[in-house]
Amino acid sequence: MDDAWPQQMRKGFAELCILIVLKRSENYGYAILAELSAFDALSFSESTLYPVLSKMAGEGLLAVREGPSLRGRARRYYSLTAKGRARLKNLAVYWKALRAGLDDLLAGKG
Amino acid sequence: MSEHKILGSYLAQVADALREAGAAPAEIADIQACLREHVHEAISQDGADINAIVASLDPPTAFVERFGETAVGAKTSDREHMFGGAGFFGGLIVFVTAFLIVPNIDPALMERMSAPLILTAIVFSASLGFAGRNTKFGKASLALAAGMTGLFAFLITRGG
Repeated sequence: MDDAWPQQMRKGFAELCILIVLKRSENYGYAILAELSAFDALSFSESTLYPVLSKMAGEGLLAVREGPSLRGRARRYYSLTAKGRARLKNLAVYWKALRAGLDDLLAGKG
Repeated sequence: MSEHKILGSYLAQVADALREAGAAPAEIADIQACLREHVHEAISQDGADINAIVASLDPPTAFVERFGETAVGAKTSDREHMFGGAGFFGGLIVFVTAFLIVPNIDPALMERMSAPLILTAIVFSASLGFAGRNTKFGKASLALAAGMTGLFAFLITRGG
């Protein structure tokens, strides 16, 4: 299972990626997937994204509203709640510290 | 308009897998709605064929793997499986003992023992079935408890 580790790492960052995408504006699941798939290292499959969206909405990090699409079908639009914005702030701080720590470790510092 | 057969079948498999993993009904419905929307968006935006889209989706087991790590509700534990299994088989054994074995050994003993044995089986299956309610055997255990309660009530009303 040598190929599994990039996916495992990506999954760990799924919540942060979703929060970043939704920080700009509210969006719906398919568009979030499309936006993230523009970055090779961040492309998720639907089996990762939708359970995470459901979990985040359940935790009150995201607000969900139904709105029509251009073709009239209902779409679920997700947006950040105050709790979601606070989580994004904390995760962003943690991510920077994590990246700095890993960079130092890779460079053989410490 | 009825849902496309292949999509419906896929969503049912995802629901079964998530249910087995201990997902709450609301979470299952939510994920199903997201997938349904995903497929319709792919059709309207990319002009793809529904069969091809459904075939390209992750297998239902992939949702279980993700769900186990991300769900609000915890993944079904081994303990829940154990409670469900014990409730079902334990209740069944006591029930069979009360109705089939005891009467053949001693009919007089049946008079005294059947009611307490059945009540014990009902309480046993109901409590352990509830503890393992997210598992197949847990649900079977609850159904068994309900069935035994109904039968017991029927026998009492008939004066048996």
